[in-house]
Amino acid sequence: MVVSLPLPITITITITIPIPHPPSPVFILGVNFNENKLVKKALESFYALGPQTSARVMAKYYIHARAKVGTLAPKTVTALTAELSTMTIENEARKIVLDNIKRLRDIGTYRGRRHAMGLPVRGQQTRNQISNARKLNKIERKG
Amino acid sequence: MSASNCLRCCLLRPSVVGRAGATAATAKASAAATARLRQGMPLAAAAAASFSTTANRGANQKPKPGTKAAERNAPPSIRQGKLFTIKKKKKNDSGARVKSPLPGERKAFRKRILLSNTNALPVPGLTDLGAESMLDPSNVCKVLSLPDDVVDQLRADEAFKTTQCWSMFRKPSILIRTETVDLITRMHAAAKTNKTLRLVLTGDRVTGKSLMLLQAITQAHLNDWLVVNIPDAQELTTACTEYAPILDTEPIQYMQQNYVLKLIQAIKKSNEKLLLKLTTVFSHAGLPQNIPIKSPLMQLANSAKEAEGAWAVFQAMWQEMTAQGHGRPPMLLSLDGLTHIMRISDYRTPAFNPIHSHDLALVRLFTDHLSGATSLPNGGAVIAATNRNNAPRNPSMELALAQREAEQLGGGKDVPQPQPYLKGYDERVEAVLRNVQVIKLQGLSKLEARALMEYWAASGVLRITVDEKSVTEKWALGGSGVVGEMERASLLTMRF
Amino acid sequence: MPPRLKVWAACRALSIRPRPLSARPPLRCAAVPVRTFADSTNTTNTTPAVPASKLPEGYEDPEPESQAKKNESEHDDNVLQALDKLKMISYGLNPFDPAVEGHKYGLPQLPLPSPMHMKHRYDDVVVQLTKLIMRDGKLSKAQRDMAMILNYLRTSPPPKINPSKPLMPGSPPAAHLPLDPITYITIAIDSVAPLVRVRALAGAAGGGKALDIPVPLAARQRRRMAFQWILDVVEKKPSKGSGRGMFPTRVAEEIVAVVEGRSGVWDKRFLLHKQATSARANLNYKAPPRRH
Repeated sequence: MVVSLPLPITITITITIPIPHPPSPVFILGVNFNENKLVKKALESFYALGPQTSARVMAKYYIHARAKVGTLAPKTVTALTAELSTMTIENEARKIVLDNIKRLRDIGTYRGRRHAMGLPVRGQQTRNQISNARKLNKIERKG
Repeated sequence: MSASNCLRCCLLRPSVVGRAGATAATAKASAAATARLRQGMPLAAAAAASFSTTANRGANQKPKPGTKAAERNAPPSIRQGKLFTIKKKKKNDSGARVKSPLPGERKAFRKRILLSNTNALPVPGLTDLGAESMLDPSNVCKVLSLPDDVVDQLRADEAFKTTQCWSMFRKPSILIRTETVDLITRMHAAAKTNKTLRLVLTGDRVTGKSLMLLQAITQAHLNDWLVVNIPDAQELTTACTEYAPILDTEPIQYMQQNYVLKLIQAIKKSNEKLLLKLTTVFSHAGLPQNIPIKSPLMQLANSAKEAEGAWAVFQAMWQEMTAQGHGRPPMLLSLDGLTHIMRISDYRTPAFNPIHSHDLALVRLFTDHLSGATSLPNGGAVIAATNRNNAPRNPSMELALAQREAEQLGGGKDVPQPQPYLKGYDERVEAVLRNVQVIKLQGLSKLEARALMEYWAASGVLRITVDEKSVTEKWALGGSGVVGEMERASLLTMRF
Repeated sequence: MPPRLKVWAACRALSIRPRPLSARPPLRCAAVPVRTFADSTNTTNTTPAVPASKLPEGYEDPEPESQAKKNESEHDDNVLQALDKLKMISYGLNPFDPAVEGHKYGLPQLPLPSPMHMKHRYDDVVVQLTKLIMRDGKLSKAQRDMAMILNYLRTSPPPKINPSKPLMPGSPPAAHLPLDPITYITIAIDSVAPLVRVRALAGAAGGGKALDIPVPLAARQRRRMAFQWILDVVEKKPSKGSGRGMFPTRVAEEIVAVVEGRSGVWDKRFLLHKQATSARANLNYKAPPRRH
């Protein structure tokens, strides 16, 4: 947008505003992401995919740190999907955690029992502040 | 209040009920209530007695809208009991809701550059810069204005910064310092002998490094040089633009197509006249569009429309612009923010190793010219300005520049040496800066300060008498004439 | 706590020296041009600081010959100075003008003008507004914001004044305002400032009801109220951009809006004045005597 004001001396205020268009969603591993989302954030939205892994995945496909999902080439998106499908994320990772807890419970350890009781596992006090343990520590752990 | 309501309701109900023919249950209940009233019984008991599901069911039969019965039933009747409703929390919604700015609008507003203030007085006797003005030592301590077409070119080059006070004056003008004449003379001497001036502008914060670079670019435009300016080097190395490997390079180099596309467009805009005049002399393969020999360079530049082929177009353009023996003009290659390209970039290789800035192809192009590994065949200058604010730690660059400066002063013993126990020296950086000239900018002299303040005063922006006393005062406030600090002390203050 | 007066301590500084001090030659200031007080009439006073009679006994001038030479050159200097002074007289200047003689930048103007005082460097209104902008005690930031506001006013086009929202009587024409931003902001604030406030006197209307009584405001209070209103509006405005310059831009825009009569602050003023006018009748109210 160029606004020219009729003035004795030419003033040109140049404000370039990208024309907004309806965001077209991008699918990565079957998940729908807004095109304005950072690739980093999109990757880290998967369970068991943290900052370290996301940085490595992005480096592998020459995606810079501040890239947005919308700027990715379709080829890169499919490559990302393929890459993610080989990784132990989401349900597989969850299952590993569940199995670990179940194993602890099955062999009758203290840690397993604490999990089953929904109490802190690592020797914390239980007088206050155990809401996270209450929320998370279960045999069928969610999250 | 409820009591009075009830009274009214109880007293009125029978007659009204009789007229409107409400349900038998309500009539019966209200009649009972009236009877109780007459007997002097408490009302609460009446209300309790009237509680029955039948009555409620009856009340729920909605009369036709618009009838008297509908009006009557509008307020909740006492028989229904009081409903307990939780009030919705009011949103903290003060004032009219206004549309929030579109994406990118805020940044555009922040980055906009205003070059004129119609309220400022036109300075009498202010002349435009000519092609030779900055060469003339008699122009030192004078303020000269930028010609309008050069202003447009500089805008295309993004040579103006938002932190500079252009928006306060009628017309963009610059002060000619002794360093300006020094720099411009060196540029000209190099161009005359088809040599390349390789120079770094350094100095403390707000000493005018970027502005000195702007003066060099201005001079290049005034003398019809080709200008390639990288306005902010941090955009290249902080991993905020796309990158991709260039095939067949060893060690592997990376191109930044999106940035290069932007750069081509800037070059196109600022060197428009020259690019239309010059014609291609080589045939280039692998461009997005076939460019025959002897077509104007502008056509070549225009062929870069997508980021896809931008790097190839840029390489072709560079080859054409630096072609030897085809009457090409000298060239200025300039960069602001040298500190950012003298470090390891934030990019990563696929094996997750950090990429050195000098492995980015565009940065490599600049550093090769700065180090003297390649030179501009038609003469010209490669000028870089360091940055002090928002500058990453860079011991090698600091050391190299200090060494060059000491060598220029002819101090054999006083050349600083690297500290043996300090980590973080970078050989590649030292190699680039081994052979450059350095101009260290310091505060203005009192005469220059006076010329500048007279210009401010003539513009009506500084409202004090400019005499020796006030000049000395502002000069001292500005840390011995550091020009940005002087500006802060006299223009960006609450006192006029 | 005032310091205690110690008479005896003062005596300690007095020392009795029976013998002359070391042979160090005392300072002889004859060669040094004497700087006199501005109001002293005897500007040619060149007597040495230590008269010869007070010189310690046995003291001899270490280099009488050089001293003589010095005297000679001094004499020459005096002659030159005198010639200079004569020249000045011929130019019509007063050579003994204290503002000229002996001072590099002349003497300060007396009494000192108020901007020379550290605490009165800035305009009163500007200081008050700056303090009102200040949050969390960050005065320096507030000052920078205020400077940006003033600069915005300087660079904005002259306001188009709305005749239905007149400015203060005697304010300069609109075209003059941008070049004098302090006047600009002062006029904006003073024009929109309310003259009175309505004070609700609890229980005065009888039956536990409050009685509204209009109370006149002092100039400073008026300005405070007006600027608070402006800041309230600014707070609700959406930011146009990002960065540290945004808040000052919004304040400055609102001040331009006030001068141009577009601002909602005017309505607040009218409403308050209306309320005060209707409450005028209550001015006769006299508080009942206090019971002790």
